[in-house]
Amino acid sequence: MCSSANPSACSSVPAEPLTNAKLAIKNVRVAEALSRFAGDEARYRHWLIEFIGHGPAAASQIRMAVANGSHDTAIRLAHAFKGRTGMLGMAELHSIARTLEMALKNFEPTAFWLDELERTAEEMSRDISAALNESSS
Amino acid sequence: MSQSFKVFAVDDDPVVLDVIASILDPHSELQTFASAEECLDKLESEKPDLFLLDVSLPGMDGYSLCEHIKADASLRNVPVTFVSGHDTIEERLKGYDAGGEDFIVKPFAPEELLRKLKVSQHLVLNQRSLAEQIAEAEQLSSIVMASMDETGILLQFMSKLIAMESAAEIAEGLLELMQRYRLDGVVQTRLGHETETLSAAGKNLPLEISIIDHVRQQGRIFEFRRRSVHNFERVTLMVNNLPLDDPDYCGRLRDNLSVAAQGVDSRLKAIHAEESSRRAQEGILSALEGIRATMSELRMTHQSNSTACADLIGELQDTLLNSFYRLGLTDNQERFLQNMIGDFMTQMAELLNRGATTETTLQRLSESLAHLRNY
Repeated sequence: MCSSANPSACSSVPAEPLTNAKLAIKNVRVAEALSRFAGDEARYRHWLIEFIGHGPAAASQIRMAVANGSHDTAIRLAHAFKGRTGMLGMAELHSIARTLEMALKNFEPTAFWLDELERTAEEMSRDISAALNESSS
Repeated sequence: MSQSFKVFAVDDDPVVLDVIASILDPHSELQTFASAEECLDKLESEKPDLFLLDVSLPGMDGYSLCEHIKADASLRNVPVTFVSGHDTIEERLKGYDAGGEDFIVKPFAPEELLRKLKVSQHLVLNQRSLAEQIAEAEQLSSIVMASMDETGILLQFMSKLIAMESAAEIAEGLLELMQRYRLDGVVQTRLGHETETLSAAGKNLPLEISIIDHVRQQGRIFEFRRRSVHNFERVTLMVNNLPLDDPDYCGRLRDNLSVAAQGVDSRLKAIHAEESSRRAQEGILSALEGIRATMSELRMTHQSNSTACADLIGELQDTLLNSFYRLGLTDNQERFLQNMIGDFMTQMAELLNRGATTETTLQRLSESLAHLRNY
């Protein structure tokens, strides 16, 4: 995922011009997340676009870390994924990431939650793309 | 809120830093860091008013960074709020043990973060106000202590002044008082017809006398350049090195020197009155002694005269009685003469007795004068 605090510095997708249409994304608390960006839709949109590109990959990285036996790395990645999705209003994904992090910390089976995370991240990525295209059309 | 309120936020997730910036930018001066190490580098040159620290950081974690901050005396009072996705009591306790003041769980609502910021601002403002009050109190305390010390010097002088008996002693005391105030100057006392001018350089130096003669015409308090003159009827005090760079000290010195000079003036007036009284008393005693001596002479003369009179009368009586035989007087003539002489003698005796009363009166007066003299 992009590591710069300045959205314009790492956006690979040009920001679409904003419309007056209300942004709505399945399983995303848009209003709540938007309020964290002080109502700045362009800023929020930037991070959503960034998620489309890197969100599913981040979920896969956790699986790889688990597969490689990098337990601490897996926990750290799950924790970061949880934090990122929570801030962006992705409540479902945030909840799965939190459960996965707990499972990793407690050395419980994680296969189910890894699958869930990857699948939901993919879905979320598609839903965001669709919503952003719809709002900008 | 004030833009001068500086916040350092440390988080490895740029989304979190962007969110924090979106919320806090209008209310504070925010600087963001992706790691504890970056933040520590910045702390070498700049200090914030509030830290927002993520717990899970690459490298040094948020708790360790907090411990580092709290171990630094210059940062110890800067509040630390942890911004973490770890929402367990264990994690909160770790934050507390590390020295953190607050904890906020990700994802947070903007209002929550703003509320934390306001609380921290209030805390910092209170700390600043308290620090200012402490600084003011310390300054006031040092002024009061210095003032007490200066007042103590003045009181010590005033208590000694009461017992001083001469203008010279008073002038030396006043000069010593000035030296204790780290002042250099000249004192002139005027007692009756005697004028004495004293300084550390010596007594009655012509140049100092001429300067004092000039400045004593300039009113009660007169200042020129670093000099300050306090004029009273019987004393003039001139300071040569007024510490103009310390106006507060200057003001206190003016007050204290004015009080000292006024006290000296009063003491000199009292000494003058005492001396006049002593001289008058000496005059009276001297006159009394003269009167007593004259009275004594009068008494002696009176005694001598009385004795001489009595002797002459006795001699006259004997001469007359002896002459009766030679004159061949009749009995009647002798009786007549004897009676006449007898009457005359009786009158003379009465006169001599009155002289004794006069002598007693003189004796009593002489004793009274001697008694007065011994007072």
